[in-house]
Amino acid sequence: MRCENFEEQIWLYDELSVSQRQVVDEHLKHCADCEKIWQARTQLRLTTRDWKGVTPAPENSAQLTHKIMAQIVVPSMNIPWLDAINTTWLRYAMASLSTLFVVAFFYTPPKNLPHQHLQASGVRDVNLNTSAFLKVKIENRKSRQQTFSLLACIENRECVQSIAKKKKYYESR
Amino acid sequence: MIKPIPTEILKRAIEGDRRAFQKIVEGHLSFAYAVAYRMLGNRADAEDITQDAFFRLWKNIPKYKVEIKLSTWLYKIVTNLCLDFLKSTRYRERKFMHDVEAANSVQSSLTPEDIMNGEELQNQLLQASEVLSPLQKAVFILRDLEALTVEETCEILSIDADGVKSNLFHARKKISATLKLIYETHEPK
Repeated sequence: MRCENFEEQIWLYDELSVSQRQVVDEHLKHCADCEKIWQARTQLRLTTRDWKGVTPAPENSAQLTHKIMAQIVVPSMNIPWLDAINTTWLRYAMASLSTLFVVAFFYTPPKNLPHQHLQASGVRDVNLNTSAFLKVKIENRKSRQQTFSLLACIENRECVQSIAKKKKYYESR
Repeated sequence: MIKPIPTEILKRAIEGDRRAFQKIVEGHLSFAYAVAYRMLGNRADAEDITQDAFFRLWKNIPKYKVEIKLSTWLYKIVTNLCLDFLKSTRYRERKFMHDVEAANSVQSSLTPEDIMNGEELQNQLLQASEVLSPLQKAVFILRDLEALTVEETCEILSIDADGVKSNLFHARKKISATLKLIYETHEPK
């Protein structure tokens, strides 16, 4: 076998079978040129071993993982109606509704309401104080009616004219 | 060394469980990045390729067959993306610009002590592997640096054993010649 054929076998020594290696070993004993190639191969093996020991790592693994996961979207379940309602406005609506629930949960009604009289703690029933409720309600309505009729009349031209007519009528009598 | 992913997590990821997939990402991120960086020699490109590889893995994970190791599959995705990138115009243009800038300055600035340093050695080997064709580089990295078997390398690169051996022979020979040149340049006078 010529040296050119040995060259490839030397570079691929670790890929050879035991018998092929023996042939190469035998040739190396007598060939100085091939021995040089063998030394270069040995040097490269040592260098790559060192290179293997230094594994390149990302500067920020957590950040890179985060970037990767940001691209990962769970595939659709192929339910058309579910896809149809999965819209932005629906998300906003759900968010508003959730906010409303939270506000309602923490809302405390004003104290001393006329229609509600809370019993001492530990008592579950609530008695409605109807007389007090009705009294305030009627008073409110009366005052509102008076205020409303006067205001309404001042703002209404016909009403003012009718008052003027009535006044004239009573004066003439 | 890559820790094998528990079958339960793998199953959940195949079913579309995002959290299970995150476990896979965390377990395989370093090695995917290492392969990409060794192939491309640039941090930003390696990160882009790693991201892209995991995205492709997620998209295709329902097709995953348990007979193949997940790491082998990911190697295949990363390597193919790197090979495509190395063939791209973007890479060739950048490499040309880099070669022009670094022709003299990088080599002459290194001392023999620097060469013995791990990081510098890695940079030198990255430079040395630049003389390889994309396929030779892939074979060299998978076989000599990632220590994969010939069978795994064949599977990842879709070539036969003779192809692996032939590319490995040329890759080792070229890298050795380049390293020799580097060492001779920095020999103390």
